[in-house]
Amino acid sequence: MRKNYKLFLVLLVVSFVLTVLAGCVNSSDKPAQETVSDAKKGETDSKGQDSLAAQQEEPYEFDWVFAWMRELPPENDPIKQVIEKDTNTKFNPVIIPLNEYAEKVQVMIAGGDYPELIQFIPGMDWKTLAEQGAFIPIDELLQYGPNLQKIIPEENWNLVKMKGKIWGVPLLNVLNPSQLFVRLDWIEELRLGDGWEDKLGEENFKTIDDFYNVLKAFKEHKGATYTCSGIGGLSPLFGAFGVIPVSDFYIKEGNEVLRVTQHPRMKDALAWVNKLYKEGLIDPEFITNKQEQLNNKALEGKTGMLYDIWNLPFRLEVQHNIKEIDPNAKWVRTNPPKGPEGHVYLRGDSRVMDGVFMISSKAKDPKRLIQFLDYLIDGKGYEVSQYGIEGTHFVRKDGKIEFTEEGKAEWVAVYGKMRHIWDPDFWYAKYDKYAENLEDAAMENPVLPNVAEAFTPGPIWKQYGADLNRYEQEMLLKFIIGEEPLDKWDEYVKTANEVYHAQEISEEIIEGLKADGRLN
Amino acid sequence: MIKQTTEEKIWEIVIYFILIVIAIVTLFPFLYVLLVSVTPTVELPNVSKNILYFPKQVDFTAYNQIFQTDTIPQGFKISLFITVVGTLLSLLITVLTAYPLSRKNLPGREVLLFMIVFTMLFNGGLIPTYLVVKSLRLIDKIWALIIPSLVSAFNLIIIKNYFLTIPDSLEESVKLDGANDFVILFKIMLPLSAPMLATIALFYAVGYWNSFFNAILYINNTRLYPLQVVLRRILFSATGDLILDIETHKASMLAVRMAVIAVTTIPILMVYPFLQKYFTQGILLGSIKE
Repeated sequence: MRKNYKLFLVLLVVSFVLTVLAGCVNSSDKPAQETVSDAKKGETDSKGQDSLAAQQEEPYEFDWVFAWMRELPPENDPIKQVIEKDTNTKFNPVIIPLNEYAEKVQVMIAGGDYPELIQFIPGMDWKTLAEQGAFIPIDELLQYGPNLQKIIPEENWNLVKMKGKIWGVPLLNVLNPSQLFVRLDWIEELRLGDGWEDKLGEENFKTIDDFYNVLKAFKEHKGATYTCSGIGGLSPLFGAFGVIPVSDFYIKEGNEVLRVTQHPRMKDALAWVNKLYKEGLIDPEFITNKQEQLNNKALEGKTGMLYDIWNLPFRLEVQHNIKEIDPNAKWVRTNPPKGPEGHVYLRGDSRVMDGVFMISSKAKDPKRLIQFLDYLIDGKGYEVSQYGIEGTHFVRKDGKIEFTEEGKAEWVAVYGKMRHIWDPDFWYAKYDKYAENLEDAAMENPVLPNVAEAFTPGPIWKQYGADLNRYEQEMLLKFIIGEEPLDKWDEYVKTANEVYHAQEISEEIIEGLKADGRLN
Repeated sequence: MIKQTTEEKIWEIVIYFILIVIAIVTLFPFLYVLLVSVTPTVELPNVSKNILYFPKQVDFTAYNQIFQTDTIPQGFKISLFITVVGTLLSLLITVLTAYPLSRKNLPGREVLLFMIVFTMLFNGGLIPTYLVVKSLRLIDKIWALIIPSLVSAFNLIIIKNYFLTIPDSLEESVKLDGANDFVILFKIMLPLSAPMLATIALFYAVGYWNSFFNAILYINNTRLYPLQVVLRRILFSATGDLILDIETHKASMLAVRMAVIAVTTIPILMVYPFLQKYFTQGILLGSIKE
């Protein structure tokens, strides 16, 4: 018995020692950190006399959590120091990889003391948390963010409205990643079109017949198809009919707000896409393709038209040396076809893309956070956070920008969260000739707005929404590949309404938009 | 040498055949990963056409891309630390807990065991666990990657059961010689348990080396991210997103992905040969007569 006691005691002691050990490490960690930040503080103080920091206020300390999946900034990151000096802040960036972002942020918030400034990425539910009091509405604080008000358009503010209040600062991104690409060398070789091909990228295909003829010729002479990844990749085809094959997508026509998946034009679009599919002009693997397959299909000449991310030519040329496989291959961006009623859309507008910055209800002085974001969105703050420090990361030579070796590092853009826009000088310096695609992407993108983007889900949607979406996507796919004839369209709409409550969901969503102050 | 009958010979051939097939099946993915990671981009389309494609030229661009920054060595240091320290601590604590539990005369043994097994089936879930770690002030500390996963109930049960297989008479005889519990544990029981300890050490080491989600959850300071987190970032930054830095992305995504897998698995694979000799060692050789 006594021996057992002894053992128990020893166990206790060991566990105690471990705890103390852990404690020691904690406490020995801290002073080290403090010395570093003290040193930094000293630096900023000595330099920062001419800026905002010269104000009498203490630097505002806060934690800032955001998603970033690329290279991490180095330890004594100079860009952070510049931002801190200019905004008179001391921020502690919590940088979380994208895939685990939602989970980690949720856990942090549930844990009680969460960062003051939090990025919410698409798909994360800030609305429930806001209702529970985790964040504050910022309507009154916006007076401290004149640039935010000036630069962020109405449509983006709409996404962060709930119950008539603005709950966060939406991130702005006008660089649309997906594009429609075509093999220009084939169009020339096969003598397609009657002049429009010279203007590809500037002018639309005149009609959907032009589009069809190109695909048909590609199929006949090259054995190539239209390809993409997923049903959304067919958007340019549906766009010609003024619809997008996406659920919970609403368009406004006159005074009516309509669900596109039930729109009569959707039926026309499906009929046309089904015709293309039946004739083998669309890749039968379009629904399962991943990025890698798209690359390979483009490389091997199995596709002549491709809906893909904007940097496709770069990937094919630099990463895959397409010139060695096919020296003539020339992929160019093109606009989507124009439909019978004059509709031209590349895809649905997606403003929610980068997410929104929410401000914790425990923030010591929320006004300072708004000022911080206001600095990042324009002028020097924008430049520093996107491209780095002039002189260190890039230089201006006769009005042209050149990135230095340091400026080529990935992490330089880590704080560039607020705005992604087309800056020709910088983008051409960064991407050389490939920037053209980005320019096209940013400049001429006919996208169909979704009036219900990021709507607040109501009880009916929460119960039936996911099932309805699944049903609609399934049926759209069946109509496209011809597994269900289009005669069943009315039956499909009826089932959606009766079994999956589509009608009620639509009503609920529209009412929700009105209640949030987004729709009159 | 005993002469084998024909039947035995045939069996032997069959057994060898099966083992060789299993070995090939096991090795194939590794070979595939290594080959693809050094395949130059021009030859990549061939990869999907062949089961195993041997590149004509060996190209290390993907590895260059991975090792471009100092975040990798930093992550490696962190991973190494938590693997070595974590495994040692885990083994120590697990053994110290398992041994008393394996002694039948420990009062309350059943209750304690039940409580331990209970945690194998039920746990507090993500947020409560996070709250515990947070209230222990472990958030953003490297120890958060070790202490919460210090003892695995499963491994503990294995060790306990192993101790149970060691005959009591052995312990009694040493006790008669005046040894206390610690001497018995460290001088008698553990040396006899080398194969089992090697196995458990491997379980723990692989677990620590692969620890990923704990790091995401408990670590905010990016300098404390272990290798797995850092490499996964590279993996994702290699997939075509909106902004792509031309200088740093000359290798293709597939090669980079494979190179990342190679870099994460090879270091921990190298541990196996060192532990292997313990697996084959005989146990209890001549220590007891019954």
